[in-house]
Amino acid sequence: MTRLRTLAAGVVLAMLLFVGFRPVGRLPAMGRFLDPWCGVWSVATTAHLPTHAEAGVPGLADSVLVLYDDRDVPHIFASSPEDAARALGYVVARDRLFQLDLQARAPAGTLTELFGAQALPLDREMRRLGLPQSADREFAEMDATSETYRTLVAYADGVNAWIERLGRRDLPLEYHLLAVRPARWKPVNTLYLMRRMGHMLAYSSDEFRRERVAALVGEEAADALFPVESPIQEPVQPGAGEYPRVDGTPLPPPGEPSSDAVPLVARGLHDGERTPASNNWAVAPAKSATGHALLEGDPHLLLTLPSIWYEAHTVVPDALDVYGVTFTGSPSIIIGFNRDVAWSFTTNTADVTDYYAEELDDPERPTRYRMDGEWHPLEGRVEEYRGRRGEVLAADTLYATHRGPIVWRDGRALSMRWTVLEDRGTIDAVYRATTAASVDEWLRTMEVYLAPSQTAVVADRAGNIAIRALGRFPIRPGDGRGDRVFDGTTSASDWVDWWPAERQPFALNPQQGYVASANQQPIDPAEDDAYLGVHWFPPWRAMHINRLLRELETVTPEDMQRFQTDPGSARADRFVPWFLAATRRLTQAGRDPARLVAAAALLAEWDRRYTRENTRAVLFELAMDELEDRAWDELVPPGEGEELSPRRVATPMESVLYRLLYDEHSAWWDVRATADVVEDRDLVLGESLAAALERATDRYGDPSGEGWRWEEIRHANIYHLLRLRSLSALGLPVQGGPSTLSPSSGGGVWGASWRQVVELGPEVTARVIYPGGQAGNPVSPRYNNRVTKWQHGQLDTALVPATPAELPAERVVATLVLSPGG
Amino acid sequence: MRAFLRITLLAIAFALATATFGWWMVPVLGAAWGAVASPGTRPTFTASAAACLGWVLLLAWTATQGPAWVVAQRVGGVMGLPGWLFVVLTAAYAALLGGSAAGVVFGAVHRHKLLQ
Repeated sequence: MTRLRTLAAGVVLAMLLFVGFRPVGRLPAMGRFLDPWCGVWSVATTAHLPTHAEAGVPGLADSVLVLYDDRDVPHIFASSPEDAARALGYVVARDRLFQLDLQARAPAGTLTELFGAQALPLDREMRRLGLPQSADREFAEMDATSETYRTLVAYADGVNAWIERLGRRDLPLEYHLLAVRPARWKPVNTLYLMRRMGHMLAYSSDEFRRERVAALVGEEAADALFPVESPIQEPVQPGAGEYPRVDGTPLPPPGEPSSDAVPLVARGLHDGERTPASNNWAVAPAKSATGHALLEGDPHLLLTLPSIWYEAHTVVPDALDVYGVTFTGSPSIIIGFNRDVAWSFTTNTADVTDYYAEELDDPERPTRYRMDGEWHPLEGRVEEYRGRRGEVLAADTLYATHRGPIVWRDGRALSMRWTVLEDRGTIDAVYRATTAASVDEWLRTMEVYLAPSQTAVVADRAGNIAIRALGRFPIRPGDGRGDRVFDGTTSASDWVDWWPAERQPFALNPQQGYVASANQQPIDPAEDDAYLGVHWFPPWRAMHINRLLRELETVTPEDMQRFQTDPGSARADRFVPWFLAATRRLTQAGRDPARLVAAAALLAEWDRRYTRENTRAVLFELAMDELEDRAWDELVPPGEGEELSPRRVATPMESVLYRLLYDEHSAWWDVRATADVVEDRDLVLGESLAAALERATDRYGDPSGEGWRWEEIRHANIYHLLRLRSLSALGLPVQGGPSTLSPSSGGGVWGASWRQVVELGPEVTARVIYPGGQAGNPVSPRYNNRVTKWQHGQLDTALVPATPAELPAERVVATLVLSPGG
Repeated sequence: MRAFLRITLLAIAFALATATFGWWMVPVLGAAWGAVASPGTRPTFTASAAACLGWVLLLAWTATQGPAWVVAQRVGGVMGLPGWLFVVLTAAYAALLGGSAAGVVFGAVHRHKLLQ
């Protein structure tokens, strides 16, 4: 019996030691993980900032004082910009170390070192696009004596100073889960991050979408569905015309599918959700109720916990006094303000990516590509992907032509030219712009900005406001368009030049008294029809901002804040009347489909606002969904089935759908699935609305019930960086719907990543917020303490002390003193 | 009373050893206890209870330094467990580790005597 007991104890012990030392499945090694002293439990001890801390940082020239206010914002008082960057690196690492590591690894293509082989596809994508290689090249070419280079190095010193003093009990939670240690921060990591933003904001492959659409409906129809000119014009650069201006000319009918292109379609490329939806605007003193320039910015990005942003204020007497948000990993404030100037960005979605079909000497093991009748050597390199223990998981040989990396698509070798890979100086421009004293100086500093292409709004204390497209925009040969794959065998396909700066979309102190952008087409083609891009985001948000700003004689900062989450929708204002008018006509003609009248009555009750308690927005959304399914059924590849809600190869923007409404008998209205009926616009609108009511009732119950409330249907979902649900903030009811100024996308994972309203008076004042909190530690109260305010559209007043003494003592919650040494 | 004192002192030893050297000291200390414990003192139970108590003491200390319960909830959530079960899992791991190590060594050392 005793023997048996001993044997059983031995078996249990062996098992416990095994799971104690070795990870099993997705679980970390349990011994260290559960250790209540320095295992995962220890993250509780770093949840709160110590009220006073001191640390040595190598490279500091002088002591740096960091005061954390009661919003957890560090105010860094340093005696040189480099010391400020060191301190910023230190405080960001202190709060966001895992995020720093992860965000640098993603564009560097080294996620496999954290996650193993499951991250291979992501790493391969980054390396095939040449992102890390391009960043490495930029860093190698930087002047080591330049201020920007020194700042990158100083920031890395600060991050590494924190990493080096990490005790066993200071590791962030995620490292316990993954059973790894943080990597040292390299100065080039900041450039990796810039590439990552480029990938997120300025990477497009419209060419392939267009190819597939053309394969199904012909070239002419593809051009019309994915137009170079948005059918609704509300341009960024104020023009001479009346806006918004709608192009209601008929769309060309769908053509015949091209048989040789069908294989392209069969390989599939389906719509994915990508909904950046940033806004920014500025109001001139003449239109401002306070008599000072006002500036608003709310960049919409993937919402994560912790947030992509970190809020900070750095002060260096006579050199730097800037407040705002920095990407974790950037030594500079990206969006924010100083005492004289405020700025914010939106993505302008210009086409800065082109593809070239290359002829290679050997498709399997290529060494050369042909151009102008001659063979040229390919640049080749071997990329190794390493696992968690440093083992090589895979190796790829990657190639590049003089245009850029070769990517393989549909059996073709395509080289890619992309401004993001050619970036030089963007980080320098962003860094130096933080010290600008006027709009003019800010814009001049930004002239070297290259990528990702953005639309900047900037305002100054003297009352100037401006809007400008930032970045380099290529001039292509031929008709100038870049939405088709070019012939790579001729150098005549290469980019000719860059758009001259004076031609880029721009406005300074326009007559209308404000400037605004919301990712729409930047210039009215009636003013300049040169190709800048294609498939523009519909201007619903731009239309709504412009309407709100035009309606008010004078604008207050409170108005600006209210606008940020305004529930009104230009899209609903435009489409709802068409549904209701179609219903009336169908009823008069006795053609009303079953339940249409009831559906129209419900839709007519809607005030076209996406408030949380609204019970009719859902009907409209489903009707729009049904309408797209019917109108664009020609874009469903053969073999995808005839049922509705199928998988289209692409979906034209809603501005194209709106254009289609003007043509009652367009061939696009005919639904292929109903061979015996030729539908027209009104019938499709009516059937869509009736079907929407059916779906809504099935899914959400009776129209008078709680199930139809908007807050039951649309939510913001802020996932933890590793998408761990228990560390995420999910299912947050928010005001807003598709196309409102604060749109909630289908998955709710995109949203306003930062909101600011700045008044540039004699003393700058600002109200700000982002969804999340300053701490990356998921058990800290500072992890998500701003989410509720953000969800309700509230802002905090930022404290902007010029000296430590100006920060009220009762609002200082923690002090950090950094001293030279380590 | 003596047993209680024994467990308490041993628990302090488990806590100190874990904090100083790491979790692997639990089986080491458990084994050591199994080697020196005399028959009749229920060494497996004693080591098990002491290891469990030692880690609970460390958890309690951690809870005074920060939101340990939030750790239980959030990390438990990651593993698909309710917070309380993650606490139990932690304590049980120590208990089983310390107790089984003590049991194995005690059994080995005293095998000869027990067989007589």
